[in-house]
Order: sequence, then C-alpha cells, then structure tokens
Amino acid sequence: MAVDIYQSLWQEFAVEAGEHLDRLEPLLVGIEAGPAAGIDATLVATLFRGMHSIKGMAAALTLRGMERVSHHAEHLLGEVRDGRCVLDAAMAGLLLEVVDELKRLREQSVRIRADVPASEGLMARLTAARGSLETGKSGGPGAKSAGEPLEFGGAGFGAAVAAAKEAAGKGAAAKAAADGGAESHPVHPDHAALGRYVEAIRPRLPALAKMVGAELEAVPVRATVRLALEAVREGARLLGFPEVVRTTETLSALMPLEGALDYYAREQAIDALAVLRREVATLEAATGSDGGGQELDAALNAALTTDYNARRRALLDVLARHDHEPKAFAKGGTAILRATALAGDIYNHFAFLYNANAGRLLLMIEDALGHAARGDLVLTPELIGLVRKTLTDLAPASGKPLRDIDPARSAETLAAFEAVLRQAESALFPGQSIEEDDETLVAGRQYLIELGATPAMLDLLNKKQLCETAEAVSGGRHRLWEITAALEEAEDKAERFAIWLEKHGRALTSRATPGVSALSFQFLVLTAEDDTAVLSGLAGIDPEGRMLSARRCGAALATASAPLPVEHAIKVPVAVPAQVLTEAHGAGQGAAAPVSSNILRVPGEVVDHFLSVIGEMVMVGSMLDDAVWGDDHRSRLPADLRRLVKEMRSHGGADPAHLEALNRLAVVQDQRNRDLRKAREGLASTLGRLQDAALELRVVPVETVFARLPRLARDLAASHGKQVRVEVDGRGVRIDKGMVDQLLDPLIHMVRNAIDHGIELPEERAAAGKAAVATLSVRAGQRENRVVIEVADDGRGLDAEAIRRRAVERGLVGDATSRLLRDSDLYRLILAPGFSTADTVTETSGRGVGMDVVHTGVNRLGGTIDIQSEPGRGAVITLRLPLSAAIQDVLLVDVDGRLHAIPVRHLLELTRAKPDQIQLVHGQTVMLLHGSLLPVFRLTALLDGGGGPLPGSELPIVVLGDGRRRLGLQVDRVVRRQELFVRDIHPRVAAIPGIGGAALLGDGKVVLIIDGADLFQLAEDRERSVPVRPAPRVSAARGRLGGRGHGKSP
Amino acid sequence: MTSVMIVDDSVMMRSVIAEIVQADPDFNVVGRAGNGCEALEKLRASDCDIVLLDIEMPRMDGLEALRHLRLISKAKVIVVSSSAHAGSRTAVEARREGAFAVIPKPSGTVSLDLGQKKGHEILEACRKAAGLSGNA
Repeated sequence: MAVDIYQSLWQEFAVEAGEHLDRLEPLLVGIEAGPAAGIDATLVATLFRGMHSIKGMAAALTLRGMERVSHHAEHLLGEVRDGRCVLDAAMAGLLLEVVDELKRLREQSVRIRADVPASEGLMARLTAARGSLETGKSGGPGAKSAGEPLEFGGAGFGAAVAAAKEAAGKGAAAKAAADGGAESHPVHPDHAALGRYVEAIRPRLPALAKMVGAELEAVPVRATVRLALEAVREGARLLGFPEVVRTTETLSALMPLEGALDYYAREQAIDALAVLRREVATLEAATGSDGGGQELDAALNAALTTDYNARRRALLDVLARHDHEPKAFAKGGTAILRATALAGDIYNHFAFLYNANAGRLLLMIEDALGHAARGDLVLTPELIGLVRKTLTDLAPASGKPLRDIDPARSAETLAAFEAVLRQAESALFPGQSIEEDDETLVAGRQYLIELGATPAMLDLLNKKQLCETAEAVSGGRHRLWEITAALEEAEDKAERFAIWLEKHGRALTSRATPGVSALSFQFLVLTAEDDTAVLSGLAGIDPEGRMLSARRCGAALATASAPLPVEHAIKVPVAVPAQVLTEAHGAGQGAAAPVSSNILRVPGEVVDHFLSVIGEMVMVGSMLDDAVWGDDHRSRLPADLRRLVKEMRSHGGADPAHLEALNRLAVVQDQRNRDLRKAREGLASTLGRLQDAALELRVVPVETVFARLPRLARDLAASHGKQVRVEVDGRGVRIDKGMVDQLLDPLIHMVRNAIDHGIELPEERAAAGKAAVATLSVRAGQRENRVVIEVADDGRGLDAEAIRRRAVERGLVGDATSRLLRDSDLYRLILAPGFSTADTVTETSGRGVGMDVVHTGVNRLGGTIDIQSEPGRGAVITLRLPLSAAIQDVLLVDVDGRLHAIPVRHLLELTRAKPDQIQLVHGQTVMLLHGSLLPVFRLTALLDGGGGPLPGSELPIVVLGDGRRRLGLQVDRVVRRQELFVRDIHPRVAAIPGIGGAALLGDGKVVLIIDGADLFQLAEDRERSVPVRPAPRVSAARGRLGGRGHGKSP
Repeated sequence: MTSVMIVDDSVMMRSVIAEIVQADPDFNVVGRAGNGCEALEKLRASDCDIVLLDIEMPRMDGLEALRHLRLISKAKVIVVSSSAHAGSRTAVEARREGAFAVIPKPSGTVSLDLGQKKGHEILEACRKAAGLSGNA
C-alpha cells in the first residue's frame, strides 16, 4: 500500500512537472524569437509561477538538483517581474537551458526516484546571471555596524565580537555561497560564524542569572552582567538578530546604577530572561553547540525557586476551589480564568522550565485549563485531580531548587493527561447515545473503512462525528466522499470549491494529502447529494480535473494502475459512454458529467496513438468504399451475366448446364455484392461511432473556457461604470482539449466588445426602460457535429448606420456599395481588421483589433461567425465550430517525394493548368482562372523560400482561398483526402512558417500539415519581394464584401 | 492599527483567517505566507505585530518557524492548527516555543468552518496579544 502511494506520488510529480515545463517552453521560445514585443506582466507571472511550482514540487520530493535550478530561475524571473531587469532574448535563452536541464533532471529523477545533481555549468551561468544583477546592490548585511567602537573587553566577549565581525565581513561571500549552494540556512547564512558566536556567549550567559539575585548589589557582579549582555547583544547585532538585541537592551535598561533590582524591575527581568533563554535555544539548536543555556537554566532555577513555588502554590489554591464551587470552573468562570492565567504565567516566566520535563507538564496543565476556560472541554473531576496531583509532584524540595522529574515519569503523566482529555472532550457531547459505547464506535469505523474510507482520515474525527457519519451513510441518507483538492492551483477555483462545500455537503475533516507537497488537501465530505450531482458540481468548478479529484466511499473500486512512466496524462472516464449527440437546446441539461467516479490517468500519447490508428482505419474504410462502390465492373457483373445468359439462350445451341452455372454465378455475385455493401455500411457506422467515442477521450467541458469570462466581464464592466450580470451555460457541451486555448481569445474579445460597445451605462438603460443591470449570456449548444456558442447581450445592439459610415471611412467598402448592403451584411464589417466604431479608444477595446481577433481565431478553428442585432434590444454573436480541432480533414499531396497535408477547409478547387493559361508576370507565375489572375507557387518552393518558374505546367494545381485571397499550389500528385489526427509539435517546428502541425500516418510516416493562413502570408511576402507588378485581383470572385468569412465550413 | 500576518499552506485557509481578522477594524492583514520559510523572509523584510501560524506546512513547519522568528521578529504568535487540539503535544510544544495562544482548527487542515466555530476565539486572542481591551 505504502509503495503504491509512493509510486503514484512520483507519477503525479512526473506529470505535473512535465506539464509545467511544456507550458513554459513555448513561452520562452516565443520570447527568444521576438523579444520585447508581447512580454507583459502576465507572461512573466506565468513563467514565475511555473518555476515556483516546479521548485515546490522538487522540494517536496527532496530533489535538490531540480530545486536549485528552478530556484535560480525563479529568482531571475522575480527580478524581471519586479522590474529590476529585462527579459531579453539572452535571458530567455538561459531560461530555455533551464527548462532543458529541468526536463533532464525530471526524467532521470523519476526513473531512479532520487535526486540528480544539476549541471554545474548551468548553475555557474545562473549564478553569474544573478551576480551581474546584484552588482550595485553590494554591502553585506550588518556592515554598517561592524566598525562601531566597543567599550568592554574580556575573552568571551572579544571572541563573540570577533566571530560576529568575521561573519559580517564574510556576509556577502557567505550569502553568495549559500544562495549558490543549498538553501540558505534559516537562522543565518554563515553557519560557521553563527557557531563561533554561540560558543563565544557560552561562558558569559549563565552570569545573567545573577541579575535576579541579591548578589547584584556587588559592583563586580553588575559589571559581569553588563559584560554578558553586551557580548550577547553585539554579536546579535552584527549577525542580524534584532529581537535578541531588543531583549538584551531591555535587560540592560533594567540594570540599576547601584544595588539590586527592585520588585517590578525584577519581574520584568525574569520575563525578559525567559525570552532570551528561548532565543538562545534557537541558536543552540541551529548550531548544535552549547551556548550556556543549560547552565543559565540551573542558575535561574536556583535564583527563582521561591518565586516559582509561590506561584505554583497559588495555582493549587485556586484549583482547590473546585471542591466546593465547581461553577467557577465552567466556561468563562472566574476560577478557571485565574487558574489559566497563573499556569501560563508560571511557564512563561521561568526560563529554567524551557527544557525541563516539568515545563512540559506545566504546559499541559495550562493547555487543558485554557481549553476548559473556552468551553472546549469539560473540567471533569478526573482532570482536575490529575492537574492537582501533577502540580504537587512538581514541588521543589524545601529550600532546594526544583528537581526535574525524569522523562519516563513525565511521559506517563502526559499519557494520563491525554487519556483524561479525550474523556473530557467526549463529555462535551452529553445526550449522545455514544457514551463509551465502544462497540458501536468500532463497528461504525469498520463499516466506513470497508466502504473505502481512509482509516487515517477517520481517526481525525471525534467519537460523535464518527458515529453520526456511520449512521448517516449506512442509513442511505448520506454519502461519504474523499475529495482531494490541489487548492493552490487557482484561487478562484479554490474559492468556488469552498462555496460548493458549504452548500452541498459538510467537510467533516481535512488533512494535507500525505506524501504530496502539502499544497494538496484531502477532505472527508458527507453529502446528501447523489453521485452525479457531486461529480458535475466538482466538474463545474474544475472542468479539466486538474485541481479536484473525488472518490465516493462505497463506489466499486476499479483500480487502475499505470505502470508506464507517465509522460503526459489526461484524465478520461473509464467507461466512455457512447455519447448520443443531442440537440442540447431548451432541455438545459445536456450531457451531464460522467456518472462513474472512476478516473483513469492514461498517458496522452496512448490516446494520441489510438486516435491516429482510428484515423487510419477511417482511411482504410474509405479504400474499402472505393472497392465496393467504385468498381463498376463488379457491381455490374450480375446484370452482365444475366444479359449474357439471355443472349446465349436467344442464339440457341448453348449447353443448358452452362447457362445454369452462369445464372448461379450471377445470383452468387449479387448476394456477395449485397453482403459487401452491408458489411461496408456496418463498418462505416461502427467506425463513425468509434471515432466519436475516441474523440471523447480528448474533450473537456466547454465551461473550461467559459469559466474565465464572468470575472473578466465583471472587472471590465466595473471599470466602465457599467453593471452586468453574466450567465454562463455550457450545457454539458464538450470540446476538444486543443480548442480550449484557441477559443478563449475570441470569447474574451466578444465579451469585451459587448461590454465596451453593447451594454449601456445604468442611467442610459434606465432611460430606455431597461433594468440597470445588463445581462450578458454565454451559452453553448451542440447541433449535430458542430459546437454552437452564443454570446448575447441586451445592450443597445449594433448601429448599422454607424458601421456603414465607419467602413466607408476606412475604405473597407465603397459608399455606393455600402448603401446596397443589408444590415446583416453591414454587421459583418466589424470583423474586418482595423475596424472600430468606438469614438474613444479605451484601454481594452476600441483599437480595432478585437473583433478581427475573433474572426481570425474562429477561422483557424474552422468555424463560422454569425451576427444578429436588434437596435435597442441587444446583439447576439453566434460561433459555429467543429467539435474537434484535432481531427483535420486534409488533402494529402505529394511534392518532390514528400507528403504534405493541406486542410480541406482552405481548399477551393483542384485544377490543371494548360500551358497557355500560365504566364510569368513580373517574375511571378500566375494563372488565369475564372477570369482573374491566380498567383501560383510550387508548394515546396513556397515553404523553402525558393521561387521561380514551375517545373512543369501539366501538374495538378490546388487552389486555396481564405475568403480574401486565393493562391494556387502546384504539386506532383494529389494522393487522397483523409482525416488526420493532428499532434502538437515542438514549438521550434511550429515556428517554421507555413507549417501548422504534424500527423502520423498508420505506417508511421510523418506528414507535415500546412497552415493555410501562414501560406497566404508567405505568398504575400514573396509577391512583395517580386519587382513591381500589378496586384493580382484575388478577391473579385468571392462574395460581396471580399467574401469575408463566407463559405468556410470544412 | 495592529498588523497581522497569516501563515498557512492553504490559500483557502489564508483567506478564511484573513476574513476573520479583518472583521475587526483594529487589525490589518499585511502579509500572507504559505510556509515557515516564506514567513521568515517576509518578516525579515517588514515586521508585524501578530502572526497567525499554522503548524503543518511544507518546507518549514510552524514549530520550526516559531523558533526562528523569535530571533528576528517582535510579533506575537497565535498558532491556528488542526493538530493543536486540547492537550495535544503539538499544542504544548507550540506554547513551549513561545506561542501566545494555540487554537485548534475544528475540521482538519482546511477548516472552512473556522470562522463560525473559532472566529471569536481567534479575534479574542489577537486582541489580547495586541494589548487591546474588550471584545471585538
């Protein structure tokens, strides 16, 4: 069991750290490629957080190598964040090295499950980078006081000062060494100097006990005490312990010019000495050497015996009142308050109790009394008896200092206290039927454990809770869940989780998830809700399942072991329900979260491979299709045979047996064809379902994307003085994981646009007779194989006339033409780049980039945009998107012996150019197609940056269009059309212009997928580099408004 | 105004505790930290009057932090921890190391009901530690 936990811990670590690194890498690559632009605070914060998380995880597993590297990187990023240095290409490069190194360390550490040292070369470079940032910030800590004149001499004192001086002198170097090496020591970076300080005060410290004795009257004694105080203080000052300085200053100030301390000064000195004793204890513990603390204890014990005993007796006197007036010991009673105060006072006062077993017992007494005073436990006669007995035991022999009791006896007494306290606690719940009914208790606990509750969690419950829980669960009214929450993942999620817990259940107890970096917590939750409600509630908070995982105690335990080193896991429901694609409209329920609570973590690669194999199967299916339907000869064969038989009969002379055989052949062939068709149809539908089911493996609830919008809208509305209520409804619609990021940007801009331009100020709304609080709704639905997302507001709607004027102003459309356009066409103009109707440029929108982003983003996803508006009533923007961006319908083409995939959604037509259609105009090959000139490139030449004339004119030309532009690509051969599963590719590859992704064919061949949008850019760049030429009229054939966004469905 | 730092490894608990403390206008939450190391770093940079300290935390736990912070900070420490139940050794240990008060969390490490069940007690301890009289 323990081993399993250990294994899963390492796996979790591997996955989490991998995810962080994968996220950081492309960001850094982006910065390295194009520095300065686009480096904003968020980006830096993301990088910083990522490094911080990795550091935390590594620290939790004591992977010092990773911890060191990430610590340095985090530090650098912290400097960037705080504006002390710039994240330039060089630093990004260094940080990329860090990422590479962390990847290496992670992989090796996970494999051997132990720390792997970091590359010293990289560490040196990181330290150097840090050092170069820190020049100018020189001057070690405490350097300022190093030169202060010192009045007193003496061996111990001198040594203390010398040690501290040395420490101060070495401060900077020591600090650098500590930073470069292990984590700096929490007490002081220069361990050696600290050790010398502690040793130096050892001979001096015990003298301080004399401060509270009568011998202080003697002048030499006062000098010794002063000297001791100076020694302790000066060292502390140089090493940088302000509180030690303060304590000794307090003591110095109490020192009389002559005579001993008066009563009040003495009391204060006793207190201050107790404080100093604890401070010294820290120093002693940190260095492992004796700083004179114990000797001071003994001296103080001797000096303060009378004081201690007086207070101890006072406490006993108060407790004696319990015999005749127990009420005074109830919650808030006078006697108990007095007793608590006395008990605390005894311990806090008498420094010599710090390390004594007697001290621990006195504290136990104080703690118990304190809880009784607050009503946390009932002061039972047993408890009060034990307290009194213990106090009596702690009496010093007459005239002698307190003799500490031996550890065995104190342990015995402590155990007795604990037993009595447990009783006292359960006495808090009188009237419960659980009084000492241990059998019920044990049975209840056993029952819950059998259900699958973690025993250690149950141990955190008190008897009452345990009994109640067992009863509630066994009665079927409630269910018990163990929910693990990585609460640091996202604060807003944590907040929502807290709210959910409050509303839907009761957190009985919680603890840090054992073995995991303590940022993860386990809750034992009792709820009356059914599994589906709980799971969908949790999924609503954390759609990706990154923060929360839940297990119902009592659910069938399907264990899933993942023996592979997990590379990149995604969570999938174990049983993939054959998702019926429903019209999620009106019902408002849609597909709920998976009912099963069994979540399998599967390496992402397995799923990806699975998907590409399915892609291949679909392809084989279509080949079979060709074989079945495409072979005219075979399908015609039966009919041909029958015709043959008929003709042979009419000609006569044929052997009837032969004719019969031919007839049978026709019948058999007919049957075979029918079977083939049936099989093919069956295969097609099975493949379709398989593909749908497989896609489920990569989907996440659309709420994942929506989750950020309400907050954004609120903030934005507030900054504009507008009021808006945001309704978000994902209706259980799920989208491909790969679409999440791409969809977020467009949605953010749509929400911004609605709030900036659509929603009116509250007073305007009131004047128009609308509610002051506007409503903005973001809804998703599913129609067949499309996701439909609707962003609707009840604002002022789009002003068609304003849009028309602006579009004309911007030269997007001619004045005359514009007047012919219908409103719905005018609305679409806001999607044009550079279009903005805002009269003022605001911080967030009005720069005319917003809706263009929507257009580009949605296009990239292969979706369409529809805009509707009713003046004064609001606007609705509807996006229709394919279910998955991961499966792409592509045309496979062969150019120069390499396979390339061209997304079908950019495909306009396939053609072949006759020689007379091809011309060279100003160095650019063009082709006359449908009456306009089409620039034509050889695909490989365009990608490679070459150019020039085409090798042959009879080769196929693939015509692509993005609604605005068209271009022709010459290829050697069109292979086939097929669905491919697109993989994420390394950012360095993705950065190659024209390449949008990669896919694997069933035979393991890699196909690069062309990025259509990139290709148009490349073509434009090329055309620009070609000397003066007439602009090809690329858009004439496409739609009224340059064909923006029309006909885009793949 | 009494300045308060909250040290707990759970973000949720930090905000729950902050809510409790900030209900009293005499207190101002000036810092939050997720473990002992972070708390010490912050206290070195700027001291405060009261530290509300969890015990079980990664990197450096509350008891260790308690031992170290007394060298550098004047702050009074109130321990708020699920392991500090009445008479527990943790509670005793925390007092030994100089905690001003020790208050147990009612429902484990992340006790969202802390405000309802212990809010008053926490505020009372804070007021006492700050030398403020009377109830919040």
